[in-house]
Amino acid sequence: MKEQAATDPIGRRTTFASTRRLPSLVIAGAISFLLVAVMSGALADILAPQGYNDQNLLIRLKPPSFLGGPHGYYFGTDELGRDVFSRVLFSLRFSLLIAVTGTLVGAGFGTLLGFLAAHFQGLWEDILSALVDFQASIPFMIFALAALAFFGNSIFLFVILLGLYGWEVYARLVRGLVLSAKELGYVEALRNLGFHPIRIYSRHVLPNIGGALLVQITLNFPGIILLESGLSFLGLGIQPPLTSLGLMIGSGREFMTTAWWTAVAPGTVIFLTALSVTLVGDWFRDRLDAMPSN
Amino acid sequence: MNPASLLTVTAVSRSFASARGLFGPKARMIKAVDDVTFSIGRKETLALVGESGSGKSTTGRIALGLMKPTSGTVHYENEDLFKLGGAAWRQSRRNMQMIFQDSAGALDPRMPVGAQIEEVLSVYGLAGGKSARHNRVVDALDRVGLGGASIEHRLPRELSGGQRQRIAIARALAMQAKLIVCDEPVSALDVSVQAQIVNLLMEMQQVFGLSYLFISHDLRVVRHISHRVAVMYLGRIVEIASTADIFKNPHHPYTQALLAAVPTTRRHHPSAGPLLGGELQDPASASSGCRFQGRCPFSRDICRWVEPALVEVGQGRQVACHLAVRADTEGGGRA
Repeated sequence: MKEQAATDPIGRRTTFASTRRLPSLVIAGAISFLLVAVMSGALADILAPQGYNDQNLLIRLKPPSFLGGPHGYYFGTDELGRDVFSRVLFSLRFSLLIAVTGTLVGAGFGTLLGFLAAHFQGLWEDILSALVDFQASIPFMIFALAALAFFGNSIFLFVILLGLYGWEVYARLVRGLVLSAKELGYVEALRNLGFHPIRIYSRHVLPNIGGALLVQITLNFPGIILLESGLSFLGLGIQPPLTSLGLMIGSGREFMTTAWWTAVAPGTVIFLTALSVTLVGDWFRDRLDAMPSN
Repeated sequence: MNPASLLTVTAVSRSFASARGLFGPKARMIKAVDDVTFSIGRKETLALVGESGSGKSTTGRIALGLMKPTSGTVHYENEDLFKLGGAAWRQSRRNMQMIFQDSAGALDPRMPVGAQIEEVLSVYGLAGGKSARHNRVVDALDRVGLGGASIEHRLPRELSGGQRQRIAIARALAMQAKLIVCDEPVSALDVSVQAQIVNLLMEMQQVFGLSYLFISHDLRVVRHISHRVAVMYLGRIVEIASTADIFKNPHHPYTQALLAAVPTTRRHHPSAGPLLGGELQDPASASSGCRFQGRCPFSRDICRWVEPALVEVGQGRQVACHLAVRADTEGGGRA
């Protein structure tokens, strides 16, 4: 936790902490933006006026309709005369799908390793810390570039790579949480009831640490979105004819001076999505901190 | 081994390595439990008393099979607990349960207490369908005086310490445990609640034929609930006898001192023995001779060189003290 909420001697949150809390209007905005983003990604087929690869070479690089562009092209057109608005909707779908899958892969992998390290300790903890050190000593972008260059580009590998980004945060978090749960005694009590360790961890420990895990996921998620965009921007992520937000910025870069909307539209969506998830994650963490721990 | 006894603990020792700094001296071995032997019969309560750090809790955890001893064996109904495989060990849990001092720590903080009792039933397949299980839960809660449907949907933090302790008892009853190790079960409770829990434990013993290993430093509670008492000092049992014998006529100087330290409301009631000064000796710096010699008011030469063995001095009574043995063989106890 980066910031400690200030408390007075008897443990009430002081005014400092309460003014620091995010106003609920911002939270409502962030949550509704996320809902809209998810819905428009899911319903892109219905909402989009055109397909994401429908070209019309007669109207290339036209400005958005509200700036005098052709009627019905809300965000203008790109260099092949494709509707930027429709492409943003489909890009949102692919980017979110990949980011969510990548996050789940990373959270699942990290959580599993964290549980193994906390349960077996000894050798498993050594393996875990060796892997964490290994990851920490290589810039992740370079690692991702190398992996994609060596093994070729596939969506499967791409998602795995996104999952590898940040798994160690989950592993360390879960290991610590499980160890402190063991200290609390209910784990030993359950062990003494003769329950199988798998049952204890899945039915009892996981629900108890689930809140902290969920907060960590929301804090990591923007990073994954940005990484996906960054790799796609560099041409190593999603490949055409598929589309993603990062890919759109990458191809719009060349026309920044003449047709800025090709890059600004997807860029704004990335920015707002990442910001909203961060805000919701922060708010969620504050709520969790305020909850009685026992 | 006594065939009639439910649990037999034989010559159990457990040492821990002390923490060692980066450049500090070598880790020393500390014997928390040293050559402890006792047995518990069916429907019997054996109390384990002694001051903090005397190894009571460690002994309790070893007796339950939760912690492996460095040496020695624990038999439950003639079965060696530490030779059981993982699955058989888990099955053995059905028979022996533990009740902790920290009643909140024994329960999953996020699961309603009724569901926690029900889970035990479903894991062991003790009741047929869902409704049968639920009936058993209601029944178990009723038995421990938490009747009414309102309790079972509550979370542990919504209950009082005494209520949580009752839940722990109800859970042990639901799985039909035969032996319950109670580790300071009432120390964290109000005196009035203490009495309720102790009486509940005694009542359950009558109804279900339970055996208890009752770990406590509260001698008044021990006197009330136990049939026999084992007194521990620095990891060893120094005296073991029936409750009546221990309280009426303690043989070991340490037992005498313990009893003398019990506060009394009777003004003209003289203390049975000397009050102790000093602290519990550091268990790591074990020297030769009797462990108690440093604080013993009757210490003799022999105490400095020879460690007294736990020997039988009377009907079901064992003492580890050179003086007590001599006094007893000379006829007539000391007191």
